[in-house]
Amino acid sequence: MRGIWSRKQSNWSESIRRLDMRSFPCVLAILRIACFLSRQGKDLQIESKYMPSTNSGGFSLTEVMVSVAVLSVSALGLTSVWKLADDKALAARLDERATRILAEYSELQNFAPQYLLEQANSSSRIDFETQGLPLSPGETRTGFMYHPRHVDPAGGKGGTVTFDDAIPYQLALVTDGQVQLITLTYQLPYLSDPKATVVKQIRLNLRQ
Amino acid sequence: MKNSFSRREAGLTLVELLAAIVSVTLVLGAATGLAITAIARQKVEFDAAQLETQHAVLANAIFNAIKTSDSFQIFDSSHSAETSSLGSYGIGVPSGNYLSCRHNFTVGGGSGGLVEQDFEFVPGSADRLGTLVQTIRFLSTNQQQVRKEFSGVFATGPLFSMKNGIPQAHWSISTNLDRADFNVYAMPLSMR
Repeated sequence: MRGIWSRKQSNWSESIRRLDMRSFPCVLAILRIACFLSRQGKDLQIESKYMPSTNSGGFSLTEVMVSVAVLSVSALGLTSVWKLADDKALAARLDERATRILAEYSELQNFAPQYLLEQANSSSRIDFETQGLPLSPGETRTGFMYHPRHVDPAGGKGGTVTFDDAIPYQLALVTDGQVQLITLTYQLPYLSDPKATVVKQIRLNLRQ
Repeated sequence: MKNSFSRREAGLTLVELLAAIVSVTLVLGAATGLAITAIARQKVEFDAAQLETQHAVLANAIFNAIKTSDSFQIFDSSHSAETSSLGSYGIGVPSGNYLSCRHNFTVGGGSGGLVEQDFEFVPGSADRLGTLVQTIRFLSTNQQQVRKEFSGVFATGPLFSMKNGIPQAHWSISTNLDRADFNVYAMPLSMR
């Protein structure tokens, strides 16, 4: 038995135990890290005569470089957490805005003057959010939940800040017996269906 | 011959030392860069969320002020509002940038008091951007007034109106990330 031997027989120790590590310094470095980290690896012993002779005192330059590369890749991998944080923050803000919209319509549906309820409202009405018109039964309106700052693809920076429209939402009123149901539906941009669809509802008593 | 001094057992070579320094510098530099970027991104998110939360609180305050008011009036500006007396409001307008709401209250069985909540949009120097100022005045006592300012507001028209017979307020804020719209509709309890 030469090279690497194992106190306990296992598939991977069996397959690598005959390797002469002097020709593969990078593999040796990874194996050393694996030996240090894994329970199974601690059962591995590396015969000193098959190790590079300069390795008796500490890590070699190759080992250090490999370690740096591994750490750097790990650090870069941490940046994926940022996207998760951004997505969750956006979801929280959208949820708060949806609640605000439903609260507005709760007040409108309950206390708007009666004649406004009898007006036929068009779902394509522009800027309905500031009109203060309650929903008619069966009516559906659409708007946008999110207005991100406009980014010029050409990289130009104009003097006036403009905003885009993103994440459309749909608002619908359904009358069911003695209750009115206002439903707000929108889709989270970072998830795929059906998890992406968010539905928020409030129930209102019918006006007397 | 005596045993020669072994240089490899004495410590690190220059090349090893330089490589270690470069490696550590690389790792520390990358870690510092990541930390700075993460902190900057966090601050942008935090500022945007904080501004939106402040204005959500303001929207709630306007909603409650209108809803619980015994009387209210909309004015063009604070100059028009100054014509009001303790007994009654001056002549108002259907839409404007100044909203005043008054609340009568009594403490126990004793004398009553009068509290006025005013909301004023003060345009700033920048294009359309301004400040919404909330002022609580204790008209029947000498208690000091409470004043709060909410910045980053822009409005396309008068902030307060009586459109369609409903007291309402509409404004937007510009955060570092996006625009948030606020719409308040509130019917006073006395008008229901």
